[in-house]
Amino acid sequence: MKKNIFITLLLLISSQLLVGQSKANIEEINRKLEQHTQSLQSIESDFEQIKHIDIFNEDVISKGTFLYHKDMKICLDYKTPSPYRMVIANNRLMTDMGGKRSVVTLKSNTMMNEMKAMISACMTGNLSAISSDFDLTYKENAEHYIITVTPRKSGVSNYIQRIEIYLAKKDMAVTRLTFYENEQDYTLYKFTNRRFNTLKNDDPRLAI
Amino acid sequence: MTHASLYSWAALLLIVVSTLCSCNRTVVGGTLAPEIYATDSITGRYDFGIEMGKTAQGGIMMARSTDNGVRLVATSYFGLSLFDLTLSPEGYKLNNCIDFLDKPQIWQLLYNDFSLLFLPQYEGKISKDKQGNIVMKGGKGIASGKITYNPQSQETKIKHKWIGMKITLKPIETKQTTE
Repeated sequence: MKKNIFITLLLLISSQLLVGQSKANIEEINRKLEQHTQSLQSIESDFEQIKHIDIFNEDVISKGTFLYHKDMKICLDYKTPSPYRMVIANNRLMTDMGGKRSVVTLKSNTMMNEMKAMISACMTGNLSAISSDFDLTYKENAEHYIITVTPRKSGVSNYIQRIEIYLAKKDMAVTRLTFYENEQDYTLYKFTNRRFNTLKNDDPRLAI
Repeated sequence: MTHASLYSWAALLLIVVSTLCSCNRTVVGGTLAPEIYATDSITGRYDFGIEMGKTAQGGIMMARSTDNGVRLVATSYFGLSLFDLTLSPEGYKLNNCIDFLDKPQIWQLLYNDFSLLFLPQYEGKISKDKQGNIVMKGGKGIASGKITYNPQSQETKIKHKWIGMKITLKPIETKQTTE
């Protein structure tokens, strides 16, 4: 009986300590993120995209370059397996499939605007931009803060169940990003060779 | 062996070899012909594009044979799932698809097109154009379409001129299944 009471007390005390530790870390993470995003002008990095298709138990791997400029310009320039470029800038989305260009306006499309905001926030770590429309939970390991982003609104949640972001503790850069469509199918991005504040606003690769 | 019998054996050998190479179609002039893209335990991967008017969507499509047909799964280049479709000679089953493609009329049309590519059931006329591409025609009326297959690049183009739709498909690589 005394042993059971002791174990119960021990568990209660430990859980309070963990809650305290988690809360302090969230404030620290948000402080570091705010410092990082305030100084961030641009990002240029290589990426590897792994699309896991559970039905076939196979992965489709794509590689390319990721560009971001603080004026809400994003470019995903795929090199393999097929050349493809997607640019979001000035409320427009441009896709280029091997020379065939298509441009759509995002202004009147609420869902596309939400997707644009989510992609931008998740790929750069600027989560304060989406905190009102998404639930955020925090974990950490030795080298990373791990943030899980869950959409609240039905538009984005029809396509994305949740997002998992790995932020490197040393520079608060996004190193891994996983979009879960459901529990089985996901798209994982790994960012390497990251370079900050090297791009100009008029970089032609960010133009539509 | 005479020259005549030698040529007969060579012709027979060519016919046997061509039927074994299921990705290479032969012009047979109007009977049941093997499918353009054979599927079995190997998962085929294709660069896939669809255009409707000014809107274009591209991605990667994977195909694998099932017990009674072929399963096709397509994703956008960005990784978003587009559709999951099972084809069989009896019909199709749409397992999943993105909202803007969720229209029965579109899937009846795509079923007709994909059946010509992946199921060995075409019974119409097959011809060749001046560039050496294999040409087939399918569908009726406003949904009629023309399929052009290039044996060298293994690229297929499907055009439905009355509704302004174009589909392109080209193998990327083939991969042994992991199961």
